Amino acid sequence: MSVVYIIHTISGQLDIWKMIEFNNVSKTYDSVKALIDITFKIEKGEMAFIMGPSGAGKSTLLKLLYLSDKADIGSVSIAGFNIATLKETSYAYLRRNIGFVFQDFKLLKNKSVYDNIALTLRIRGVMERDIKEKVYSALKMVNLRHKIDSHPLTLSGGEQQRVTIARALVGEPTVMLADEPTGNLDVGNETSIMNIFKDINAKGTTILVATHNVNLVKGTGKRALYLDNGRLVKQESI
Amino acid sequence: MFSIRLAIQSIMQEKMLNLLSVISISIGLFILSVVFLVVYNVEKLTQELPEKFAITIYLNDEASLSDKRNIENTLNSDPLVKSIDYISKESALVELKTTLKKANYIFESIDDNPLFASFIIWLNPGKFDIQTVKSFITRVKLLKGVESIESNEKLLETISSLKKGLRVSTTGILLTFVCAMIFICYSTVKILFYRHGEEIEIYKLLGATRLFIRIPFLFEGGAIGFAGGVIAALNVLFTYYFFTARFKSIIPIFSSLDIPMYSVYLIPFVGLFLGITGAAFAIGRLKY
Repeated sequence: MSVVYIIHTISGQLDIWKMIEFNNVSKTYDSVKALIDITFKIEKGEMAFIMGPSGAGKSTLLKLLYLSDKADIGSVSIAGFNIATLKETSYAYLRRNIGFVFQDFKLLKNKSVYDNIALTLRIRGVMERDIKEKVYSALKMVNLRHKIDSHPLTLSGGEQQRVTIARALVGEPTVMLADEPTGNLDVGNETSIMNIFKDINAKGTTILVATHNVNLVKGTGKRALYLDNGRLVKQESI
Repeated sequence: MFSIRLAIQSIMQEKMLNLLSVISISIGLFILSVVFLVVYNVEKLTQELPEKFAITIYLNDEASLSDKRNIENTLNSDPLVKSIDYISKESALVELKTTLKKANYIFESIDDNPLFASFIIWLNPGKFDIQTVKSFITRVKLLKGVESIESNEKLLETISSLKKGLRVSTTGILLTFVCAMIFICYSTVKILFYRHGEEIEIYKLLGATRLFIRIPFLFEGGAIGFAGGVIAALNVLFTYYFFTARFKSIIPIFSSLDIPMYSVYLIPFVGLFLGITGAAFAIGRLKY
């Protein structure tokens, strides 16, 4: 837990029960309205889906959450922090409470699976002797223990995505964000990745997955938020 | 420690780019060192000048004993004067006759001693500069009993202007090369930063601070500068020993060339400083 986290908790700026909160958020890029007046909440420990076709605003919404961009109007909170009130120097510490999973994996191609996962901990200054144990445990959770010395390019798409999930997991995040995590995978791997997400969620981590794949969400019993042309048009459990 | 590892990995990954930067910096530092050594040796030679430089004050025949004493006291009390030798009219003639031994017939037609008594003044090295010497000569000229003064003022002026010119051009060369080397490190680090753009993006998402991302580039800049400095230092030593050993018998000035060893040891650290400075400028101007 970072210093920023502790300070905000003490000062009362942190509401740990609202993991993700959008209040009347709008975002425009060169006169194109990417998000229009979005309001929703994701509670602690919840797993939810952001659904919608390409260009609906899913990626923009996630960008605001992983602090790659700022809302033009409205407020965004994640892991209890109101992003608008945070200084940019605190972003790094806030990101340590968030796990990221991307469609294109974003793995370091010249590093082994072990080093890719260990990077999360090395950035936080964790001692090398403690890193090994945590990396092994994260790899066990995604069932990739045997690929520890492999390099990303020698792995299949599904395996690379599992490494990405292990890298996010190893930092013990309070929130996990996934942008089209199964976009590049076949059906077998889709199911496997979704099962891993469910396991992680069952252990208490809040998860928000952006996807256009309706089949992925069907029958999960989780909440789905539908975006269309930048507007939140529907919320339902499916 | 992890930052150092990242810097080493980056150096190994971008071998050609880093090698080119190291070579450029080593050339720059080598030229700087040669310029420094030239200036150092010129300064050293000119500092030895007072030992070889003397002013002769000729006294007129009407100068009384008290005039001579007054002149001697004035000279002795001047901080510029290290020592004085008095040469009487008679001693001057004896010396001249000894010098012109083979042309002794010149003196047969001379009845009186035509030479003047004189003071030969040896100057103090610490106070030696052209302006002080000039004002000293002007002061002494006004003393009663002084006939004329002989000094190598022209030579002094030439050396002084040469030193001035050398200092100005050295400062110019120094600044140009320092800026050039900082710019090389700056550009290298900037290129490296952009080449690692994807990696940096991942570091950011995983919660890396600005410092964590920047420190490896500082190390890398420092390492490039230091390596360039080591090569330059070895080159300077090789060049010095090669030239002095090879040419001292042909060109005598090479035998009196000196190389201060501390300056050679300093070259890698100058490189280190320039490398870190260039890297600091580069990462300071970057958006993240």
